[in-house]
Amino acid sequence: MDVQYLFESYRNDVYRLALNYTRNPQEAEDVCQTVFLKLMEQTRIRPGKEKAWLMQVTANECRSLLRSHWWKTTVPLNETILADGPEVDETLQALSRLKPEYRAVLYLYYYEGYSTEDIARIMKISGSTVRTRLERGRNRLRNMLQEG
Amino acid sequence: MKERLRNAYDQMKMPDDCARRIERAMKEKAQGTDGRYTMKAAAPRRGGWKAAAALACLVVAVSVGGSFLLRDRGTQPQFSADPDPQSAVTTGQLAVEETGEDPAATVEFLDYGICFSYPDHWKEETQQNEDGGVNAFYDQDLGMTVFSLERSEAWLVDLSLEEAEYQDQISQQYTSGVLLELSKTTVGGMDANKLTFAYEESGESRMATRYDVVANQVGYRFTYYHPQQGSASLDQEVEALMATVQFEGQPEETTDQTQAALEDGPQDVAKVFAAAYFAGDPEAMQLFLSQDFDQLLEGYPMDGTKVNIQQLRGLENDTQETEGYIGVVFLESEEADSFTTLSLDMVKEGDEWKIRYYGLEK
Repeated sequence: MDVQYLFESYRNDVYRLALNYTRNPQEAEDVCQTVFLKLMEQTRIRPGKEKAWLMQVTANECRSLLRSHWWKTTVPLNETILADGPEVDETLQALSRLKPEYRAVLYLYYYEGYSTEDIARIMKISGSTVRTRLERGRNRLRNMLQEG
Repeated sequence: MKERLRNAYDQMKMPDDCARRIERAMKEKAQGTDGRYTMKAAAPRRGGWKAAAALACLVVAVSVGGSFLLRDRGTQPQFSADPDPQSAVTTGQLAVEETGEDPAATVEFLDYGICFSYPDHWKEETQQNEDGGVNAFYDQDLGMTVFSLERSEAWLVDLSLEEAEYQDQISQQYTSGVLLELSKTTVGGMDANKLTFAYEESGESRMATRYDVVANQVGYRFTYYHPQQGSASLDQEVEALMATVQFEGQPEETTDQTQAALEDGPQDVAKVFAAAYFAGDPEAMQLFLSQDFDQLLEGYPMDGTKVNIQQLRGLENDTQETEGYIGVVFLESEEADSFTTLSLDMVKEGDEWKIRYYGLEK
């Protein structure tokens, strides 16, 4: 397993998921480092399944982080990224105001293109929970963008 | 919205200095103290002695010949079967069972104010009963429903009941129901009653254990249906599940939860539905429809962007009713000289408000 190649291929995907969860660039970086160091220890990932493994482990790490009470100050997403235009800036700002679990499912569904069943496996939640979070996250995001 | 989200997510990239730091850490790990990296054995999964034997073989194999070196930049990739990273994942084909990340593979249930982890070989089904919602869990290995979670209004779960009263309740709910044991316990840090009882089903003797608990003004009943032949591993799974139960309501989330509760009231649901209706978004409208909805699903027939909502009439967000009417009063346009009303017949299904009927009225 070529970890260097996997790092170059998927580092942005891992970082995006971690940032969506944590909304803190430093925490997201720490999660990324933990995930790729864990990848080096793996011998049982089937070729072609590396990204799926990375996404699931990233979600696990972020959940553990969110559950701990040692939690640094979060930063709005539009302040961590140089937005390419006012619409992107507005969208990032709205995403920042959502709960981490809503941001994560929206990212995995709309950007990564996972099905609700796959998201359920990645995040280790039930399918009905995924659908509930998608519905609520999307509705709240839409309301915020319409109000803006 | 999809395009908008994609554009936003495209901006999220790992900073270069972060990437360099992580690569440095990976190289240091690869180098170790003697130029080799000894693989860490994967944690054993559930399965007792077989898993332990497999683990022993793995450790032997690794100690004999296992090593790992980080590829230097500039050399050919060792993994060349699929150079296109995007094709590495196909939806519906996640091999999550291969991660070895969680020895006791579980799935998290998080909804209705409660969170717990259940075995990943259970299949969850959501149902409704007259008092509230029911989530049933089907064990695919045993081929039977082994667990259920019932939610109801808090007053329906009475923790002050004595043995005789529970016996009455069991004998009313189950054929030949007999209370075997009753004790006090805690679930998710909340006081609970644990009762074990026998009953008959389809002419066969059965046994079940139930935990009654009230948390955050909601009554919960967790029921474990014992297999006829008994199952020590299933007993352990249920015990492990009950140990993971948590009820939502942490102080730092109060504001969000309050807001969420407000947004889930009938008026808040009506607002969101009305927005979807005026936007002509049937997909979003569908999310709020009652199971009794039987009319043709159509959005606003005119230009929804000109609509000016004036007020909402009818049910309040904090209503104790479980059904009723909400009227969304609006002006069709700035030039309109009279009000129009989007009438919504609302009904509460479980914990959520739904639309049973809607229509326009002048």
